[in-house]
Amino acid sequence: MSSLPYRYIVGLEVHAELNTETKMFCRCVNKPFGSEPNTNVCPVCLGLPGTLPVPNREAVKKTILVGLALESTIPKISKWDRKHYFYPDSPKAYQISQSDMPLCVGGHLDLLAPDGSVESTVRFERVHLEEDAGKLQHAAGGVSHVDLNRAGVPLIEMVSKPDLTSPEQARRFLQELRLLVRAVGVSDADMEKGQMRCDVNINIAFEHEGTTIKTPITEVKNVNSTRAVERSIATEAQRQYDEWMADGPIRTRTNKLTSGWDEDTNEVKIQRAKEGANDYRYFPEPDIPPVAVYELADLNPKTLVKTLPELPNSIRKQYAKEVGADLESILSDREEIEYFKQYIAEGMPAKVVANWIKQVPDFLSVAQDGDVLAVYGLIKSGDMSFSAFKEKVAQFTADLHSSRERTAKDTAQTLGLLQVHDENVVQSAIAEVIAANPQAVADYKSGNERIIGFIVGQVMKKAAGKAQPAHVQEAVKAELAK
Amino acid sequence: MSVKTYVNKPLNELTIEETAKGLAEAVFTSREITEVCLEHIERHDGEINSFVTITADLARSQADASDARRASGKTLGILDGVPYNLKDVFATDDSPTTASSHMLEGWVAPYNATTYRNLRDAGAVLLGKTNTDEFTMGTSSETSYFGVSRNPWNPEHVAGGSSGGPAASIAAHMSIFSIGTDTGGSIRLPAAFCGVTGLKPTYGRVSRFGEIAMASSLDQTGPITKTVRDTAIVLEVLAGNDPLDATSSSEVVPVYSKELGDIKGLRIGVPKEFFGEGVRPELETVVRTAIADLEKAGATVVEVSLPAAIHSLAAYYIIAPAEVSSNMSRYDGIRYGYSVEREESKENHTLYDIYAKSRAHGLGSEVKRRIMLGNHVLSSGYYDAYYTKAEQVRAVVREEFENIFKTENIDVLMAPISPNIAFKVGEKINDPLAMYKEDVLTVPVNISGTPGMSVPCGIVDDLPVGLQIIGPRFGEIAVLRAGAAFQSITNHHLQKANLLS
Repeated sequence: MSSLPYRYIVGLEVHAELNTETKMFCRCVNKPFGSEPNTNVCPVCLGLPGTLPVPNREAVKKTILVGLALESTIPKISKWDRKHYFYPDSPKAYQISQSDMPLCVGGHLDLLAPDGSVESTVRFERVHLEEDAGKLQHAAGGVSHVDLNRAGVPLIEMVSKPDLTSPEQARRFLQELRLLVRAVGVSDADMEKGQMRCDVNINIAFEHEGTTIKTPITEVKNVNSTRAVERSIATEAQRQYDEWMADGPIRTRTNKLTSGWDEDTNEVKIQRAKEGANDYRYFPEPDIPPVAVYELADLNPKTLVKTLPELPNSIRKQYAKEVGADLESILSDREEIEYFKQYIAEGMPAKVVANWIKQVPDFLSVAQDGDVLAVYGLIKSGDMSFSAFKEKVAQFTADLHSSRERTAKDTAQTLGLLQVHDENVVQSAIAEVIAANPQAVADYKSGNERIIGFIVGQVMKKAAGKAQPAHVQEAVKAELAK
Repeated sequence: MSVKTYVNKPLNELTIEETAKGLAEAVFTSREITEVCLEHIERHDGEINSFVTITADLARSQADASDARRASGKTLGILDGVPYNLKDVFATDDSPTTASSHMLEGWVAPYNATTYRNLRDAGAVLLGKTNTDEFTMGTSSETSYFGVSRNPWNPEHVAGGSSGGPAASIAAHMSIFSIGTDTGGSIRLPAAFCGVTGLKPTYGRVSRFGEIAMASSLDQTGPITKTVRDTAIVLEVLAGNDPLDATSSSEVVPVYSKELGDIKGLRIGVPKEFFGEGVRPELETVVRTAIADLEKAGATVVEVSLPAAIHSLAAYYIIAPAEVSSNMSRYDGIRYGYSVEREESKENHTLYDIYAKSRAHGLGSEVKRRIMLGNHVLSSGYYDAYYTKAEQVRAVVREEFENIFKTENIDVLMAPISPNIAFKVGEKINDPLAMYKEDVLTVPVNISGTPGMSVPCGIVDDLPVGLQIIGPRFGEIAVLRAGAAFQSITNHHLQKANLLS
């Protein structure tokens, strides 16, 4: 596919803020966005002397759900660790994270082709649960302000294996992961709001004078849009290749580079060469006992797995072929997924449901029990056309809901949407149209089946509101087959 | 002015039981005994330096409230109206909490420690906050930013540490009881040095919420009192699960004061490794005599061996500094506490300067020593050799303590608290290793998470000696029963410090 002289080796570390009611280790409201600075804080998330963290069970549960959705292994025992670094966004000067015993180990996410078949599989190292840091706002005059509303917000880190082989695939993977956490209902994952953030690990491999060269890894931090993921990988890969070809320091470096993505200039900015790994002096968090999730009724993965909603890939595998492009937009909206599954379960064809979700969403959102199937029944029987219904859907909905006793048929009747079908009128109209259009009839008989639309249209016109198109089509076909 | 007495003692010298009885009989009011304690503090604490903050106004209002409750027949229990003090590491929103550090000088917490809430809800009257080694790091109270606490038996000697203020305040009868914390012996050692009773409960028995952490996996809050019976009474109020402390136990809290019983059937194990080399012979004799007294009174004594326990000290001085280095990181001069930024506002500081200078000026040398030790043992390349190894030792010691009570069929272990009696002020402050070695007989209890108590058991060179009583995890009843039995057959706990005689 690529004419580039090198192969990409890419892994992503994706952070997502969980949409729990309260923070990770205290009971402050979890609302990092849109509050006055430092209002959603308490002694615990301010890291005041003497305070202690108590883990949020809802956050643990939601992390396990992500792991189950990725088919990770959920180990029997998991623990937290302290990761130390000094920065004003970190009130304790350490982050409570998970080092060697995360909640979820392994797992994978498949990327599917349009027909629903597996195109590629991206494996995961782990998914762990930690706390977010606060935010710094750098004001004029070298003054910085600290807002700790975000400090202590539950944050999951999903770490992929370096299985990604192109910038485009990495972008799709990130989109897919975003879709997954939304589908599972654990995060809103809005990258613009920082609810999902991404670090990219990238190096390249290529053949050079008979040997395979692998460049040292660069970690590109703060790649915070799906488009930036794609661009940063392409940019950094080329930069590595060029540096290598120019006999640059990349040839001898063995350690990892840390860099940041500059969204404005589309540049990868190298920050520092890591001296081995950063020394965060991890050690087990002594304030939180290890958690044995299988022994806790509300966190037992064996029970939680049954509460997982149907995942996007499962829906795609069933309906991608039938529904086509509309399915992707439905999958990005949890409510639409619900409608989609509900009405399919009630017997409507997937294609029709998908169409209605796109065409008459307001009707679906206020529909009461049985409304949708009743309307569908009228359309299927030919008593009402979908286009007529759609045109007056607002009035239709209002009238239908004006009284408990109103039926869909009553409403269709009142709004003049019911289609009459007078067989005598239709038959004579057919006879007239066939007689008047010998060329079209001849075309049809010689194999141009599409011309039937024209004939049906003529019949409908002649029948002047006393014919239902579905029936007319059948009748025309029968007549022409004689 | 005639001094009011009860059971032939000035009010400040009463035990909790006596105070409660006197209050119930309306011989005196909470306000009266509170005033007596405040006056006694005023008169003598210049010499002892046990208090960092005296909360006289708060004490008076709490005492008056207690008296009002009593007048309307609604007392909150045995501690209602009883004056006490807190080691200055418990967060209280109505007085400063300094941890005896320049870093937190004047800092008032916007919240209350669970221990303070429990005592306030029980009606106890807070006289003030008492001195400690800085952030509880020390064995003599000499590392306090606010000066050393002196031993009421002889002010040339240390009160011990880190709960030197609490222990001295009880020995000098400046409060009826006190609350200390014990990470490596910090309740028991000063209790022994000052001739009072001090209990470190099982790890997880008492909530740590609001107790400024030294080493989180070892810290435990406990009472310092004049008798074992009083210790049982206070423990009942402190103990129990706290939803704000994930390490606090949900184990049921017994009514300790009703479980004291007598000495019959008591089986005592004497671990041979806790005697002999390094322990001063006269002190050993006093401790062995105490154990012999119990044997004479009907207890069974067996010699046992705890070969791993003696390695606790080495493990302790890795685990504790590791956790210290982490817990102390938050004192960065940015949000609260001492900051070079607030001190010398004319200078322009980089972020690094604020961190480095605030910590350099705000923290004392012992704290900095332990931060450096901790950072070293946690750094990559050293972690496995130090921290991992120390945790392995902890696991072995825990198991050893877990097993000994079963295999030897004993209720408690008895040993000395320290190798020697209270040393002189200044004697060891420039020799950290000698200071650390003072903890050798107390840290095994912290490393194993078991309960340990010190009760006075005699005198050497005019200074008190402590008998250490150790029980299995959540075996406070056995420890208290043995201690109460000892105090029922001996008078060591009734000896008064020279300050008062």
